[in-house]
Amino acid sequence: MTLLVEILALPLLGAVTLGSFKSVLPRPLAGIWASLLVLGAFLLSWAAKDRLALLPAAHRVITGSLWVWTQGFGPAIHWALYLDPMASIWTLIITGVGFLIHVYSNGYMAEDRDRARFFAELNLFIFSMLLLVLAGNLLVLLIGWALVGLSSYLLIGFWFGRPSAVRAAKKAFVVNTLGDVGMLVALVLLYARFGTLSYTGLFGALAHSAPAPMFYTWVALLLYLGAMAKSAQFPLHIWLADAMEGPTPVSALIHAATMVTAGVYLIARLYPLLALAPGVGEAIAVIGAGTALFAATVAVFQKDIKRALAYSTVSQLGYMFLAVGIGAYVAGVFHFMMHAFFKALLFLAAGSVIHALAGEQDMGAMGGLYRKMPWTAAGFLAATLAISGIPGFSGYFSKEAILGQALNTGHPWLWAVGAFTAGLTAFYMFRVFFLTFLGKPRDQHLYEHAHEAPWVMTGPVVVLAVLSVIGGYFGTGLNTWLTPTFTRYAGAAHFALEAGPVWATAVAVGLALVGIAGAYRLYLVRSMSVDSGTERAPGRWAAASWGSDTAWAWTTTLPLMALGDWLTGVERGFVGSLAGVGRGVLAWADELRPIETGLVRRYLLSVMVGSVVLLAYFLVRF
Amino acid sequence: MMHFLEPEIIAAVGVLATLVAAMLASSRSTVPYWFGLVFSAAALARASMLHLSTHLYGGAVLGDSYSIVVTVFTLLAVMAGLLLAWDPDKYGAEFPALLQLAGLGAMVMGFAGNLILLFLGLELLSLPLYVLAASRRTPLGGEAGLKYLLMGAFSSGILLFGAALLYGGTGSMTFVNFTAVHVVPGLMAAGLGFLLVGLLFKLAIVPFHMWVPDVYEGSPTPVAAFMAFGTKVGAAAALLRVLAFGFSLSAAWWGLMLGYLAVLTMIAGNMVALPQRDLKRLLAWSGVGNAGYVLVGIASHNLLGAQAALFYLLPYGLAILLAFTVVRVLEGREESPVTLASLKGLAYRQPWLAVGFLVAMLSLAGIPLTAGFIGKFYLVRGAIAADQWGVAVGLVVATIVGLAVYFRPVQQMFAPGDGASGRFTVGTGVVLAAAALGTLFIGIYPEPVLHAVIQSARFTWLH
Repeated sequence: MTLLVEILALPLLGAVTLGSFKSVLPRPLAGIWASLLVLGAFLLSWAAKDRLALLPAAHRVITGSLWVWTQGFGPAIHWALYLDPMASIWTLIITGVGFLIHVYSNGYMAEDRDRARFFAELNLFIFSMLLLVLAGNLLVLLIGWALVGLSSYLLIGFWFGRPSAVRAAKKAFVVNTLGDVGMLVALVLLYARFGTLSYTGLFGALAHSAPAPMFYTWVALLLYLGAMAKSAQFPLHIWLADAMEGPTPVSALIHAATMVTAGVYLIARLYPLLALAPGVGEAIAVIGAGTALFAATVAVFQKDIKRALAYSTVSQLGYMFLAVGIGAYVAGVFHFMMHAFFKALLFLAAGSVIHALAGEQDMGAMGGLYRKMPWTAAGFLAATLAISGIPGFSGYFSKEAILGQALNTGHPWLWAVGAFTAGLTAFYMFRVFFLTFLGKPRDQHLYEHAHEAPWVMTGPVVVLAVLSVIGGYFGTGLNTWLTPTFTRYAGAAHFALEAGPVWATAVAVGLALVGIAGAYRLYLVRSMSVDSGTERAPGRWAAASWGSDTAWAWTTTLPLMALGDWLTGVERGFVGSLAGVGRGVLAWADELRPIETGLVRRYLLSVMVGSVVLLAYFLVRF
Repeated sequence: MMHFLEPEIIAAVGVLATLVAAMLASSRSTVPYWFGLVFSAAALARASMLHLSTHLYGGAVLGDSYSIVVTVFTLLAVMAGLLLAWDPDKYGAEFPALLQLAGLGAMVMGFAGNLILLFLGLELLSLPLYVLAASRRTPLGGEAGLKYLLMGAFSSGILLFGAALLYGGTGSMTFVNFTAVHVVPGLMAAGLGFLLVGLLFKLAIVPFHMWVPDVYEGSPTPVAAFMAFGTKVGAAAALLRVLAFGFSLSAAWWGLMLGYLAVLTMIAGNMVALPQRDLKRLLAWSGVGNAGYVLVGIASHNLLGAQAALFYLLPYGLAILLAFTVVRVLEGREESPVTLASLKGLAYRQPWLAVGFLVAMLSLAGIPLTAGFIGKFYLVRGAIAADQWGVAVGLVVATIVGLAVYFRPVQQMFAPGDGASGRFTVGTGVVLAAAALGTLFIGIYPEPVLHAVIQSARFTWLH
């Protein structure tokens, strides 16, 4: 318990101190202070992991209640924390990758006037995310969940002078709130049925509860709605690409490495519930595979480097949900970990490029940058190889684990979609790499002024590049480490990593190689422009993410606005009548004022009348 | 076993020491104020460490966690009053001693277990307040003091008569003996009626409330702040004690009566507060309405209600102290009246002051995440547990009217315009910060405070 509180306290301290003293702090100090606190949290997370490892495997949980939050609405609700092997993986990634991104931000945000506010909000995010992961019951998790949404909102809208940033922040918040509502309803259902929301209590009750298929299906679906919104699953993926309006380190930390994987965490955490609602798991897997393919096709046609990476994030999240949906929990966590490395790396390297090109994000103005920025280019290449699933790099291991298990559990169609998407991934990621770093510079002026990023920015890039290359070899260790989490309660039969048939691997890798070759041929040999293919129908539709924004506007936003307009009229009338009541009350109250005459004899009369009434009442009642 | 009286002894010694300090020091010295503050803080610290339950002198002195809670609330009111009045030039050297003496009276009412001590505490509370209420050398100040004295004397007389009848009916002064079998019922009913009049007068229950607006308006603001919190604590504590200890068997009929009065008070208090333009008068009427809320808990004559009534005193007290602090800051040294119009634009001129005021108004209106909401929540539960649905509905209706009462000043605060502005002193700053943070803390995480207060009102013979 002790370590958990301190892990949470450090970033919270940073958020509070930076938020309170942001105008008096010397400028470079804010970033250093914020980074040191996250480093401290990382070291503590490491110590907590070691302490966890000392426990016997069957009891590998550190949990407890800080205090009773409230009672009187039924059974008491505690502020409970909970650390098990899976949560410890998440804390390590959040604080570790978070620390690297904090360091990177020292360089990236060096010239921003509001950097203290930036670091305060970044620390607030780290705290919220840790709270989400370390929560010991679903209510604390929901608080962390909502706080994560809040800090994401604040950071997307960090440059609130830009209308587009404000709109993007609002969009992210609204979509996320939709998911929060689903979760809240699920929590109420669970609390009403089991009288507890703590993991231990709830999972214990689930282990031997009477079958009620509809109840569990509904609860799981509602919780999945929350996961869907947070993790940008189709059709709630619409906010993530717009969220790229935030500063690039934010995109790396929140909208790639950590926050968007909260949904994966939630679903993996609730595996005993999912075991009681098998249909929901299938649905999650199908939607995940669909999202992976869908987002990959959109990513192929993006012009903006960050938007391309954002759709690639959506696609990779689809893989993770495919994994947890079919019950391959360790594979899902494994892919989350690898994705945190290589996707953070991609964003940081992209950020360095954007920084070097004075804020230019259009790949049409890039090209040939490897000569100017060798470190960044090498890092980006490592991450691209990893995400494309080239054997030996980290992404290969985790993606193969997911696809292999899809075959093993009897989902050949999901495997096929995943393998095809893997080829597509290799294509669009190498497209980005070739357009940005190789070929001829397309904007000579920008190219002349480009320069390698300072060491505070290249340092994290190099560290993440090393992790992206070697990360895959953590797999076996991870499998053993996570076993206690998924054997604690019944319901996770195929959680462990499994290898698929060799032919399947060969097909997936072959498709990836074809994708790379295609990208090479189109964008290096034939030097196609960045927006080629978007003039005609399928490409144009894909570039506009197959019209999902328009669909949302037509099916939801516009009808709701029409309803709102109509209700405004109703409300005007209603409020008008209420105001009439109010005026009446006010007039009546004014009438009452003359009773207060200021004459003592009148006051005493009132006391006497009161006494007489009181006495009369008593004597009559007697 | 005088152990549990130690806070009260420290407070009593503090009164004397402060008096002596006031005699020795020059009239502009803050030394008496420091004495008052230090002794009150010492008594508060001692009180918060006590866990005892002792009955002394045949049940005349009841030292239990209930009396400790009353002592703590009272000392908070005393310290807030001292901090708000931290200006010897203006309020004089006698101010701290008189305020502490009044506080001591409220503490006595908290541990009083018989009629004599009850009356003693009531007078100890009232007499210094008559002087303090008149301490402004303006016609309004004189009027306030005189009205308070006249009406107070009148109601004390009624209370004393009631006490005499009770003694006549039972042959005993001690509350617990009133439940004995050989009592004269007619005398008891009349005696209880008159006793209630005296206590309800102090608590400002309609129709015994008429003095409140005039007295609050005419008194110096720190005194009004103390009266709004400290006096009500003393009166409510004594009322709850005498009813729970002495009349638990006849709870059904006094409960119903008090329920009617509670509804009347809540509605009337909030209704008349609505059109007020002077902020102090508005707060006075709000105090009347809030006394009605407290009475809801007492009227529900069950454990939940008693606990809720005792607890509600704290959210109410913190919020009203906060509001009076804002008045104190805005009226300045000249004590110019603060009206709703002088709040105009406050949110832009003095944002911190405005935040404090906003918290006070939200809490008084009973908005969630403030202490006031928690307090009202438990009151409604108490009323429903007693099957007094009418009272619960009345509380809700009064709260709706209260929303309008408390949001009108808030609306003024955000309206453009040039109103008053004033300077913080250390004292007002401390009270503002402490009361605002306390209100929010209890609202967000009520458990520790709620638990401590609720445990102390375990009158198990109320059911």
